[in-house]
Amino acid sequence: MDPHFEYLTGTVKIPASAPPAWQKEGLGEFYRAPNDDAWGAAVCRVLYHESIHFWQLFSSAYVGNLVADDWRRLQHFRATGEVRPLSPEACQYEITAPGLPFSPRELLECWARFWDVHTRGPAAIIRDEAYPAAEVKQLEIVDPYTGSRSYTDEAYDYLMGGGPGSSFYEQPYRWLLDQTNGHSAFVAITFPTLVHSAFGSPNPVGVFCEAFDRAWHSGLLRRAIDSRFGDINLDWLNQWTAIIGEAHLPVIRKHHLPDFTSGLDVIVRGSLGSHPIYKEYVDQWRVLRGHLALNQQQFAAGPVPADATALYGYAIADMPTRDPWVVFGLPGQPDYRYLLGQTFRPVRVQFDDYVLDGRRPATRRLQEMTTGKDGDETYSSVLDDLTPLVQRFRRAEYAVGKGLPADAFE
Amino acid sequence: MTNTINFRLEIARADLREERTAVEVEDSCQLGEEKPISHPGGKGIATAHFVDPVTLVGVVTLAWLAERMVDHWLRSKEQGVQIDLREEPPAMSRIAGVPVGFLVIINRDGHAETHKATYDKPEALMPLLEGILATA
Repeated sequence: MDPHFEYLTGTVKIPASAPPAWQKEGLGEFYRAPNDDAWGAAVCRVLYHESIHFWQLFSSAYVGNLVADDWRRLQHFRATGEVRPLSPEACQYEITAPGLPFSPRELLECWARFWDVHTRGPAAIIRDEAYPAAEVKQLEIVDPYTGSRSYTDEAYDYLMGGGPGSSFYEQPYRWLLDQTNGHSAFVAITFPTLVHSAFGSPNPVGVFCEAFDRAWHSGLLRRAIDSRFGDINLDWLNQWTAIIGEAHLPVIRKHHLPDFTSGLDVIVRGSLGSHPIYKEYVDQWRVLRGHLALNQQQFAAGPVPADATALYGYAIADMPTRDPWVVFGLPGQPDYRYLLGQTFRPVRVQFDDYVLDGRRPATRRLQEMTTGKDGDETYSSVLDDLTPLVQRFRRAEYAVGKGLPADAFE
Repeated sequence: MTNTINFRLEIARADLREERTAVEVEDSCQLGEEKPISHPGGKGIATAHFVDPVTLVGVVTLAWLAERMVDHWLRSKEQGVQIDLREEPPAMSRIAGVPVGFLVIINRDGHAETHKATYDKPEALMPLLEGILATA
Protein backbone atom coordinates (compact mmCIF):
# COMPACT_ATOMS: atom_id res chain seq x y z
CA MET A 1 0.00 0.00 0.00
CA ASP A 2 1.00 3.52 -0.75
CA PRO A 3 0.90 6.09 2.11
CA HIS A 4 -1.37 8.95 1.13
CA PHE A 5 -3.82 11.64 2.18
CA GLU A 6 -7.39 11.72 0.87
CA TYR A 7 -8.61 15.33 0.76
CA LEU A 8 -12.34 14.67 0.76
CA THR A 9 -12.25 12.76 4.05
CA GLY A 10 -9.19 14.33 5.69
CA THR A 11 -7.79 10.81 6.14
CA VAL A 12 -4.12 9.91 6.24
CA LYS A 13 -3.38 6.26 5.40
CA ILE A 14 -0.10 4.78 6.58
CA PRO A 15 0.75 1.16 5.70
CA ALA A 16 2.45 0.31 8.97
CA SER A 17 1.64 -0.52 12.56
CA ALA A 18 0.75 2.32 14.87
CA PRO A 19 3.38 2.90 17.56
CA PRO A 20 1.97 1.67 20.90
CA ALA A 21 2.37 5.09 22.50
CA TRP A 22 0.03 6.65 19.91
CA GLN A 23 -2.54 3.94 20.49
CA LYS A 24 -2.56 4.81 24.19
CA GLU A 25 -2.12 8.58 24.15
CA GLY A 26 -2.96 9.90 20.70
CA LEU A 27 -0.78 12.09 18.49
CA GLY A 28 -0.19 15.14 20.66
CA GLU A 29 3.36 14.19 21.58
CA PHE A 30 4.21 13.37 17.96
CA TYR A 31 3.77 16.99 16.94
CA ARG A 32 5.91 18.10 19.89
CA ALA A 33 8.68 15.57 19.18
CA PRO A 34 8.23 14.06 15.71
CA ASN A 35 11.51 12.12 15.81
CA ASP A 36 11.21 10.58 19.24
CA ASP A 37 12.71 7.08 19.23
CA ALA A 38 9.51 5.78 20.82
CA TRP A 39 7.68 6.18 17.49
CA GLY A 40 10.21 4.11 15.55
CA ALA A 41 11.61 5.16 12.19
CA ALA A 42 8.99 3.86 9.78
CA VAL A 43 6.10 6.30 10.20
CA CYS A 44 7.32 9.68 11.44
CA ARG A 45 8.35 11.26 8.18
CA VAL A 46 5.29 9.97 6.33
CA LEU A 47 2.84 11.19 8.97
CA TYR A 48 4.46 14.60 9.03
CA HIS A 49 4.44 14.87 5.21
CA GLU A 50 0.73 14.02 5.06
CA SER A 51 -0.03 16.40 7.94
CA ILE A 52 1.54 19.17 5.84
CA HIS A 53 -0.94 18.35 3.05
CA PHE A 54 -3.81 18.63 5.55
CA TRP A 55 -2.57 22.05 6.70
CA GLN A 56 -2.12 23.19 3.09
CA LEU A 57 -5.89 22.81 2.62
CA PHE A 58 -6.51 25.48 5.28
CA SER A 59 -3.74 27.87 4.28
CA SER A 60 -4.09 27.76 0.51
CA ALA A 61 -7.09 29.03 -1.45
CA TYR A 62 -5.69 27.25 -4.51
CA VAL A 63 -5.83 23.88 -2.71
CA GLY A 64 -9.15 24.77 -1.08
CA ASN A 65 -10.71 25.53 -4.46
CA LEU A 66 -9.53 22.25 -5.96
CA VAL A 67 -10.98 20.32 -3.02
CA ALA A 68 -14.19 22.34 -3.30
CA ASP A 69 -14.45 21.29 -6.95
CA ASP A 70 -14.08 17.65 -5.91
CA TRP A 71 -16.66 18.13 -3.16
CA ARG A 72 -19.21 19.54 -5.62
CA ARG A 73 -18.56 16.62 -7.97
CA LEU A 74 -19.03 14.19 -5.07
CA GLN A 75 -22.35 15.82 -4.12
CA HIS A 76 -23.50 15.55 -7.75
CA PHE A 77 -22.45 11.88 -7.84
CA ARG A 78 -24.31 11.17 -4.61
CA ALA A 79 -27.48 12.72 -6.00
CA THR A 80 -27.36 11.38 -9.57
CA GLY A 81 -24.77 8.58 -9.87
CA GLU A 82 -23.09 10.66 -12.54
CA VAL A 83 -19.42 11.68 -12.58
CA ARG A 84 -18.96 15.28 -13.69
CA PRO A 85 -15.72 16.22 -15.44
CA LEU A 86 -13.05 18.15 -13.58
CA SER A 87 -13.19 21.94 -13.70
CA PRO A 88 -10.64 23.60 -16.06
CA GLU A 89 -8.64 24.68 -12.99
CA ALA A 90 -8.54 21.12 -11.62
CA CYS A 91 -7.41 19.84 -15.02
CA GLN A 92 -4.45 22.24 -14.90
CA TYR A 93 -3.28 20.96 -11.51
CA GLU A 94 -1.06 18.24 -13.00
CA ILE A 95 0.00 20.13 -16.10
CA THR A 96 3.17 22.17 -16.55
CA ALA A 97 1.94 25.31 -18.26
CA PRO A 98 3.93 26.64 -21.24
CA GLY A 99 6.83 28.78 -20.09
CA LEU A 100 6.80 27.42 -16.54
CA PRO A 101 9.22 24.81 -15.21
CA PHE A 102 6.85 22.54 -13.23
CA SER A 103 3.20 21.87 -12.45
CA PRO A 104 1.20 23.05 -9.44
CA ARG A 105 1.16 19.45 -8.22
CA GLU A 106 4.94 19.22 -8.28
CA LEU A 107 5.26 22.50 -6.40
CA LEU A 108 2.68 21.46 -3.79
CA GLU A 109 4.49 18.16 -3.23
CA CYS A 110 7.86 19.91 -3.11
CA TRP A 111 6.44 22.18 -0.41
CA ALA A 112 5.50 19.13 1.70
CA ARG A 113 8.80 17.40 0.88
CA PHE A 114 10.77 20.50 1.97
CA TRP A 115 9.28 20.26 5.44
CA ASP A 116 9.47 16.49 5.85
CA VAL A 117 13.18 16.50 4.98
CA HIS A 118 13.82 19.46 7.29
CA THR A 119 11.88 17.95 10.21
CA ARG A 120 13.04 14.34 9.93
CA GLY A 121 16.53 15.57 9.14
CA PRO A 122 18.81 14.49 6.28
CA ALA A 123 21.04 12.36 8.54
CA ALA A 124 18.06 10.35 9.82
CA ILE A 125 16.61 9.94 6.30
CA ILE A 126 19.92 8.72 4.90
CA ARG A 127 20.09 6.21 7.75
CA ASP A 128 16.36 5.22 7.51
CA GLU A 129 16.56 4.63 3.75
CA ALA A 130 20.08 3.16 3.76
CA TYR A 131 21.26 5.72 1.21
CA PRO A 132 25.01 5.87 0.57
CA ALA A 133 26.03 8.26 3.33
CA ALA A 134 29.57 8.43 1.99
CA GLU A 135 28.29 10.62 -0.83
CA VAL A 136 27.82 13.44 1.69
CA LYS A 137 31.06 14.79 3.15
CA GLN A 138 29.49 16.40 6.21
CA LEU A 139 25.99 15.61 7.44
CA GLU A 140 25.80 17.86 10.48
CA ILE A 141 27.43 20.84 12.11
CA VAL A 142 27.61 21.71 15.78
CA ASP A 143 27.11 25.28 16.94
CA PRO A 144 30.28 26.13 18.91
CA TYR A 145 28.36 28.37 21.33
CA THR A 146 25.18 26.41 22.03
CA GLY A 147 26.29 22.88 21.18
CA SER A 148 23.13 22.37 19.14
CA ARG A 149 23.37 20.18 16.04
CA SER A 150 21.92 21.07 12.69
CA TYR A 151 22.13 19.61 9.22
CA THR A 152 24.44 21.02 6.57
CA ASP A 153 23.34 22.64 3.31
CA GLU A 154 25.20 19.85 1.56
CA ALA A 155 23.16 17.14 3.32
CA TYR A 156 19.86 18.89 2.65
CA ASP A 157 20.62 19.55 -1.01
CA TYR A 158 21.77 15.94 -1.45
CA LEU A 159 18.20 14.83 -0.74
CA MET A 160 16.33 17.74 -2.31
CA GLY A 161 18.60 18.20 -5.28
CA GLY A 162 18.12 14.86 -6.97
CA GLY A 163 19.84 12.33 -4.75
CA PRO A 164 18.76 8.71 -4.25
CA GLY A 165 15.05 8.10 -4.07
CA SER A 166 14.31 11.41 -5.78
CA SER A 167 11.12 11.82 -7.74
CA PHE A 168 9.29 14.68 -9.40
CA TYR A 169 8.62 16.12 -5.95
CA GLU A 170 12.11 17.58 -5.73
CA GLN A 171 12.04 19.03 -9.25
CA PRO A 172 11.05 22.58 -8.21
CA TYR A 173 13.83 22.67 -5.59
CA ARG A 174 16.41 21.55 -8.17
CA TRP A 175 15.15 24.34 -10.40
CA LEU A 176 15.72 26.87 -7.62
CA LEU A 177 19.26 25.62 -7.01
CA ASP A 178 19.93 25.89 -10.75
CA GLN A 179 18.56 29.46 -10.86
CA THR A 180 20.90 30.52 -8.04
CA ASN A 181 24.01 28.56 -9.07
CA GLY A 182 23.58 26.42 -5.97
CA HIS A 183 23.06 29.17 -3.37
CA SER A 184 21.59 26.76 -0.81
CA ALA A 185 21.01 29.28 1.96
CA PHE A 186 19.14 31.68 -0.32
CA VAL A 187 16.89 28.93 -1.61
CA ALA A 188 16.28 27.39 1.82
CA ILE A 189 15.39 30.72 3.42
CA THR A 190 13.14 32.11 0.66
CA PHE A 191 11.39 28.93 -0.50
CA PRO A 192 8.90 28.42 2.37
CA THR A 193 7.75 32.05 2.47
CA LEU A 194 7.34 32.31 -1.28
CA VAL A 195 5.62 28.95 -1.79
CA HIS A 196 3.16 29.54 1.05
CA SER A 197 2.34 33.00 -0.31
CA ALA A 198 2.05 31.80 -3.91
CA PHE A 199 -0.48 29.12 -3.00
CA GLY A 200 -2.66 31.89 -1.63
CA SER A 201 -3.12 32.98 -5.26
CA PRO A 202 -4.96 31.37 -8.19
CA ASN A 203 -1.70 30.88 -10.13
CA PRO A 204 0.76 29.44 -7.64
CA VAL A 205 3.51 28.35 -10.06
CA GLY A 206 3.46 31.56 -12.09
CA VAL A 207 3.45 33.75 -8.98
CA PHE A 208 6.10 31.62 -7.25
CA CYS A 209 8.55 31.67 -10.14
CA GLU A 210 8.16 35.37 -10.79
CA ALA A 211 8.46 36.20 -7.08
CA PHE A 212 11.53 34.01 -6.72
CA ASP A 213 13.17 35.76 -9.64
CA ARG A 214 12.43 39.13 -8.00
CA ALA A 215 13.86 37.86 -4.73
CA TRP A 216 17.05 36.60 -6.36
CA HIS A 217 17.56 39.92 -8.14
CA SER A 218 16.78 41.99 -5.04
CA GLY A 219 19.96 43.52 -3.64
CA LEU A 220 18.17 44.06 -0.34
CA LEU A 221 17.22 40.40 0.09
CA ARG A 222 20.58 39.11 -1.16
CA ARG A 223 22.41 41.28 1.38
CA ALA A 224 20.00 40.35 4.15
CA ILE A 225 20.41 36.64 3.50
CA ASP A 226 24.15 36.89 3.10
CA SER A 227 24.29 38.42 6.59
CA ARG A 228 21.87 35.87 8.07
CA PHE A 229 22.04 34.57 11.65
CA GLY A 230 22.95 31.08 10.50
CA ASP A 231 20.11 29.56 12.54
CA ILE A 232 17.54 28.59 9.93
CA ASN A 233 14.57 28.86 12.33
CA LEU A 234 15.49 32.42 13.23
CA ASP A 235 16.40 33.34 9.64
CA TRP A 236 13.01 32.21 8.36
CA LEU A 237 11.25 34.45 10.88
CA ASN A 238 13.62 37.33 10.38
CA GLN A 239 13.18 37.38 6.61
CA TRP A 240 9.46 36.51 6.41
CA THR A 241 8.13 40.05 6.10
CA ALA A 242 10.93 41.30 3.86
CA ILE A 243 10.53 38.41 1.41
CA ILE A 244 6.78 38.96 1.14
CA GLY A 245 7.15 42.73 0.79
CA GLU A 246 10.09 42.73 -1.57
CA ALA A 247 9.27 39.74 -3.78
CA HIS A 248 5.71 38.41 -3.40
CA LEU A 249 3.54 41.51 -3.11
CA PRO A 250 4.97 43.34 -6.16
CA VAL A 251 4.09 40.30 -8.31
CA ILE A 252 0.61 40.09 -6.82
CA ARG A 253 -0.03 43.81 -7.38
CA LYS A 254 1.33 43.65 -10.92
CA HIS A 255 -1.22 40.95 -11.76
CA HIS A 256 -4.04 42.62 -9.81
CA LEU A 257 -4.49 39.68 -7.46
CA PRO A 258 -5.57 39.71 -3.81
CA ASP A 259 -2.62 39.77 -1.41
CA PHE A 260 -3.39 36.37 0.07
CA THR A 261 -6.48 34.14 0.16
CA SER A 262 -6.50 31.16 2.48
CA GLY A 263 -8.20 27.80 2.28
CA LEU A 264 -10.20 28.81 5.33
CA ASP A 265 -11.56 31.74 3.30
CA VAL A 266 -12.66 29.23 0.65
CA ILE A 267 -14.37 27.05 3.25
CA VAL A 268 -16.20 29.99 4.82
CA ARG A 269 -17.35 31.54 1.55
CA GLY A 270 -17.79 28.62 -0.82
CA SER A 271 -19.19 25.15 -1.35
CA LEU A 272 -16.78 23.53 1.10
CA GLY A 273 -18.85 25.27 3.75
CA SER A 274 -21.27 22.35 3.43
CA HIS A 275 -18.56 19.77 4.11
CA PRO A 276 -19.55 18.23 7.48
CA ILE A 277 -15.96 18.15 8.72
CA TYR A 278 -14.18 21.10 7.19
CA LYS A 279 -16.93 23.56 8.10
CA GLU A 280 -16.18 22.77 11.75
CA TYR A 281 -12.43 23.21 11.43
CA VAL A 282 -13.11 26.90 10.80
CA ASP A 283 -13.61 27.17 14.58
CA GLN A 284 -10.04 26.04 15.13
CA TRP A 285 -8.68 29.24 13.55
CA ARG A 286 -10.06 31.20 16.50
CA VAL A 287 -8.58 28.65 18.92
CA LEU A 288 -5.19 28.96 17.22
CA ARG A 289 -5.37 32.78 17.33
CA GLY A 290 -6.15 32.52 21.03
CA HIS A 291 -2.99 30.50 21.64
CA LEU A 292 -0.97 33.00 19.61
CA ALA A 293 -2.35 35.92 21.64
CA LEU A 294 -1.36 34.19 24.89
CA ASN A 295 2.13 33.54 23.55
CA GLN A 296 2.48 37.14 22.53
CA GLN A 297 1.52 38.37 25.98
CA GLN A 298 3.93 35.98 27.62
CA PHE A 299 6.97 36.23 25.37
CA ALA A 300 6.75 39.32 23.17
CA ALA A 301 5.18 42.04 25.26
CA GLY A 302 8.45 43.77 26.16
CA PRO A 303 11.42 45.13 24.22
CA VAL A 304 13.26 43.01 21.66
CA PRO A 305 15.90 41.02 23.57
CA ALA A 306 19.56 41.10 22.59
CA ASP A 307 20.35 37.52 23.61
CA ALA A 308 20.05 35.09 20.65
CA THR A 309 18.03 32.44 22.47
CA ALA A 310 15.63 34.96 23.93
CA LEU A 311 15.42 36.63 20.53
CA TYR A 312 14.12 33.43 18.95
CA GLY A 313 11.42 33.05 21.63
CA TYR A 314 10.46 36.67 21.06
CA ALA A 315 10.31 36.29 17.26
CA ILE A 316 8.20 33.11 17.44
CA ALA A 317 5.65 34.92 19.60
CA ASP A 318 5.84 38.27 17.83
CA MET A 319 5.67 37.32 14.14
CA PRO A 320 2.09 35.96 14.22
CA THR A 321 0.91 39.33 15.52
CA ARG A 322 2.09 40.75 12.18
CA ASP A 323 0.97 37.79 10.07
CA PRO A 324 -0.87 34.89 11.77
CA TRP A 325 -0.48 32.79 8.62
CA VAL A 326 3.23 32.46 9.41
CA VAL A 327 2.19 29.49 11.56
CA PHE A 328 1.02 27.62 8.46
CA GLY A 329 3.85 29.03 6.36
CA LEU A 330 6.59 27.77 8.71
CA PRO A 331 5.22 24.49 10.13
CA GLY A 332 8.80 23.34 10.65
CA GLN A 333 9.18 25.77 13.54
CA PRO A 334 8.78 23.45 16.57
CA ASP A 335 6.31 25.77 18.35
CA TYR A 336 4.15 26.22 15.25
CA ARG A 337 4.26 22.52 14.44
CA TYR A 338 3.06 21.69 17.93
CA LEU A 339 0.32 24.31 17.78
CA LEU A 340 -0.90 23.05 14.41
CA GLY A 341 -0.85 19.51 15.74
CA GLN A 342 -3.10 20.57 18.63
CA THR A 343 -5.56 22.74 16.69
CA PHE A 344 -5.55 21.30 13.16
CA ARG A 345 -4.93 17.62 13.65
CA PRO A 346 -5.79 15.37 10.65
CA VAL A 347 -9.36 14.09 10.80
CA ARG A 348 -8.26 10.45 10.78
CA VAL A 349 -4.92 8.63 10.67
CA GLN A 350 -5.40 5.05 9.58
CA PHE A 351 -2.67 2.48 10.23
CA ASP A 352 -2.71 -1.21 9.31
CA ASP A 353 -3.76 -2.11 12.84
CA TYR A 354 -5.21 1.03 14.37
CA VAL A 355 -7.29 4.10 13.58
CA LEU A 356 -6.67 7.43 15.29
CA ASP A 357 -9.54 9.89 14.98
CA GLY A 358 -9.06 13.57 15.72
CA ARG A 359 -11.42 15.26 18.16
CA ARG A 360 -14.13 17.60 16.96
CA PRO A 361 -13.80 21.24 18.02
CA ALA A 362 -14.95 21.69 21.60
CA THR A 363 -17.08 24.65 20.49
CA ARG A 364 -19.20 22.44 18.28
CA ARG A 365 -19.64 19.72 20.89
CA LEU A 366 -20.64 22.28 23.51
CA GLN A 367 -23.12 23.87 21.12
CA GLU A 368 -24.76 20.51 20.53
CA MET A 369 -24.86 19.70 24.22
CA THR A 370 -26.62 22.95 25.03
CA THR A 371 -29.36 21.95 22.58
CA GLY A 372 -29.76 18.58 24.20
CA LYS A 373 -27.85 16.59 21.56
CA ASP A 374 -25.07 14.14 22.36
CA GLY A 375 -22.14 15.75 20.57
CA ASP A 376 -19.88 13.13 18.96
CA GLU A 377 -16.31 13.47 20.15
CA THR A 378 -14.77 12.47 16.83
CA TYR A 379 -15.80 12.33 13.18
CA SER A 380 -16.18 8.53 13.20
CA SER A 381 -19.88 8.54 12.41
CA VAL A 382 -19.46 11.16 9.67
CA LEU A 383 -16.65 9.12 8.14
CA ASP A 384 -18.76 5.95 8.31
CA ASP A 385 -21.01 7.64 5.76
CA LEU A 386 -18.49 9.71 3.82
CA THR A 387 -15.66 7.22 3.32
CA PRO A 388 -17.65 4.55 1.40
CA LEU A 389 -19.24 7.30 -0.71
CA VAL A 390 -15.82 8.69 -1.64
CA GLN A 391 -14.58 5.16 -2.47
CA ARG A 392 -17.58 4.60 -4.77
CA PHE A 393 -16.95 7.97 -6.35
CA ARG A 394 -13.28 7.18 -7.02
CA ARG A 395 -14.25 3.81 -8.55
CA ALA A 396 -16.79 5.56 -10.76
CA GLU A 397 -14.23 8.20 -11.73
CA TYR A 398 -11.79 5.52 -12.85
CA ALA A 399 -14.54 3.69 -14.76
CA VAL A 400 -15.75 6.78 -16.61
CA GLY A 401 -12.16 7.74 -17.37
CA LYS A 402 -11.75 4.43 -19.19
CA GLY A 403 -14.99 4.75 -21.14
CA LEU A 404 -16.87 2.33 -18.87
CA PRO A 405 -20.21 2.99 -17.17
CA ALA A 406 -19.93 4.68 -13.78
CA ASP A 407 -21.23 1.56 -12.02
CA ALA A 408 -18.83 -0.83 -13.81
CA PHE A 409 -17.23 -1.82 -10.52
CA GLU A 410 -20.31 -2.02 -8.28
CA MET B 1 4.92 -18.56 -28.78
CA THR B 2 7.81 -17.58 -26.49
CA ASN B 3 7.56 -18.40 -22.82
CA THR B 4 8.73 -14.98 -21.68
CA ILE B 5 7.12 -11.64 -22.23
CA ASN B 6 8.38 -8.08 -22.03
CA PHE B 7 6.31 -5.62 -20.08
CA ARG B 8 6.51 -2.32 -18.25
CA LEU B 9 5.40 -2.29 -14.63
CA GLU B 10 4.08 0.69 -12.64
CA ILE B 11 4.09 0.25 -8.87
CA ALA B 12 4.28 2.19 -5.64
CA ARG B 13 7.86 2.74 -4.57
CA ALA B 14 7.06 0.89 -1.33
CA ASP B 15 6.34 -2.29 -3.31
CA LEU B 16 9.54 -2.23 -5.34
CA ARG B 17 11.69 -4.30 -3.01
CA GLU B 18 9.07 -7.07 -2.83
CA GLU B 19 8.89 -7.29 -6.64
CA ARG B 20 12.66 -7.46 -6.97
CA THR B 21 12.81 -10.20 -4.34
CA ALA B 22 10.11 -12.16 -6.17
CA VAL B 23 12.01 -11.99 -9.45
CA GLU B 24 15.39 -12.95 -7.98
CA VAL B 25 14.36 -16.54 -7.45
CA GLU B 26 13.56 -17.06 -11.13
CA ASP B 27 16.44 -17.42 -13.56
CA SER B 28 14.41 -16.51 -16.59
CA CYS B 29 12.91 -13.37 -15.06
CA GLN B 30 14.46 -9.99 -14.54
CA LEU B 31 13.43 -6.42 -13.76
CA GLY B 32 15.33 -3.36 -14.95
CA GLU B 33 16.28 -0.12 -13.20
CA GLU B 34 13.39 1.83 -11.83
CA LYS B 35 12.59 5.39 -12.83
CA PRO B 36 10.22 7.76 -11.05
CA ILE B 37 6.96 8.55 -12.80
CA SER B 38 4.22 10.95 -11.97
CA HIS B 39 1.24 9.43 -10.18
CA PRO B 40 -1.52 8.71 -12.69
CA GLY B 41 -3.67 11.76 -12.97
CA GLY B 42 -7.01 12.72 -14.30
CA LYS B 43 -8.63 13.15 -10.89
CA GLY B 44 -7.51 16.64 -9.94
CA ILE B 45 -6.18 16.93 -6.41
CA ALA B 46 -8.00 13.80 -5.04
CA THR B 47 -5.16 12.25 -3.03
CA ALA B 48 -1.63 13.29 -2.11
CA HIS B 49 0.99 10.57 -1.93
CA PHE B 50 4.17 10.51 0.12
CA VAL B 51 6.26 9.77 -2.95
CA ASP B 52 5.65 9.27 -6.64
CA PRO B 53 5.52 5.70 -7.96
CA VAL B 54 8.14 4.08 -10.17
CA THR B 55 8.19 2.27 -13.46
CA LEU B 56 10.52 -0.45 -14.65
CA VAL B 57 10.68 -2.82 -17.58
CA GLY B 58 10.76 -6.53 -17.05
CA VAL B 59 11.17 -9.81 -18.82
CA VAL B 60 9.24 -12.57 -17.10
CA THR B 61 7.59 -15.87 -17.82
CA LEU B 62 3.82 -16.02 -18.17
CA ALA B 63 3.74 -18.47 -15.27
CA TRP B 64 5.58 -16.02 -13.00
CA LEU B 65 3.30 -13.19 -14.07
CA ALA B 66 0.13 -15.20 -13.49
CA GLU B 67 1.31 -16.23 -10.04
CA ARG B 68 2.27 -12.67 -9.04
CA MET B 69 -1.04 -11.36 -10.28
CA VAL B 70 -3.24 -13.91 -8.55
CA ASP B 71 -1.33 -14.49 -5.32
CA HIS B 72 -0.19 -10.93 -4.71
CA TRP B 73 -1.40 -8.10 -6.94
CA LEU B 74 -5.08 -9.02 -7.22
CA ARG B 75 -5.30 -10.09 -3.59
CA SER B 76 -3.72 -6.86 -2.39
CA LYS B 77 -6.03 -4.74 -0.29
CA GLU B 78 -5.41 -1.56 -2.18
CA GLN B 79 -5.85 -1.70 -5.92
CA GLY B 80 -6.52 -4.01 -8.79
CA VAL B 81 -4.41 -4.36 -11.92
CA GLN B 82 -4.60 -2.56 -15.24
CA ILE B 83 -3.01 -3.95 -18.40
CA ASP B 84 -2.69 -1.43 -21.22
CA LEU B 85 -2.09 -3.09 -24.56
CA ARG B 86 -1.79 0.21 -26.41
CA GLU B 87 1.78 0.50 -25.22
CA GLU B 88 4.81 -1.38 -26.44
CA PRO B 89 5.72 -3.34 -24.37
CA PRO B 90 2.36 -3.67 -22.58
CA ALA B 91 2.09 -1.60 -19.40
CA MET B 92 0.90 -3.28 -16.22
CA SER B 93 -0.09 -0.94 -13.47
CA ARG B 94 -0.91 -1.49 -9.82
CA ILE B 95 -1.35 2.24 -9.26
CA ALA B 96 -3.77 3.25 -11.99
CA GLY B 97 -6.76 3.35 -9.68
CA VAL B 98 -8.36 0.02 -10.58
CA PRO B 99 -10.69 -1.01 -7.76
CA VAL B 100 -9.46 -3.83 -5.61
CA GLY B 101 -10.17 -7.31 -6.96
CA PHE B 102 -10.52 -6.25 -10.59
CA LEU B 103 -8.37 -6.71 -13.65
CA VAL B 104 -8.91 -4.09 -16.35
CA ILE B 105 -7.56 -4.66 -19.82
CA ILE B 106 -7.30 -1.73 -22.22
CA ASN B 107 -7.20 -3.13 -25.72
CA ARG B 108 -5.25 -1.65 -28.58
CA ASP B 109 -8.33 0.18 -29.82
CA GLY B 110 -8.71 1.86 -26.41
CA HIS B 111 -11.73 -0.20 -25.44
CA ALA B 112 -11.59 -1.30 -21.78
CA GLU B 113 -12.74 -4.67 -20.43
CA THR B 114 -13.18 -5.51 -16.80
CA HIS B 115 -12.64 -8.91 -15.19
CA LYS B 116 -13.61 -9.59 -11.61
CA ALA B 117 -10.71 -11.48 -10.15
CA THR B 118 -12.16 -14.73 -8.89
CA TYR B 119 -9.05 -16.73 -9.70
CA ASP B 120 -8.24 -19.21 -6.98
CA LYS B 121 -5.14 -20.41 -8.69
CA PRO B 122 -2.69 -18.76 -11.08
CA GLU B 123 -3.43 -21.40 -13.70
CA ALA B 124 -6.96 -20.05 -14.02
CA LEU B 125 -5.56 -16.72 -15.25
CA MET B 126 -3.16 -18.25 -17.76
CA PRO B 127 -5.59 -18.62 -20.70
CA LEU B 128 -6.59 -14.95 -20.41
CA LEU B 129 -3.00 -13.73 -20.17
CA GLU B 130 -1.91 -15.94 -23.03
CA GLY B 131 -4.75 -14.62 -25.15
CA ILE B 132 -4.04 -10.95 -24.57
CA LEU B 133 -0.26 -10.97 -24.33
CA ALA B 134 0.40 -13.39 -27.16
CA THR B 135 -0.88 -10.75 -29.58
CA ALA B 136 0.85 -7.83 -27.85
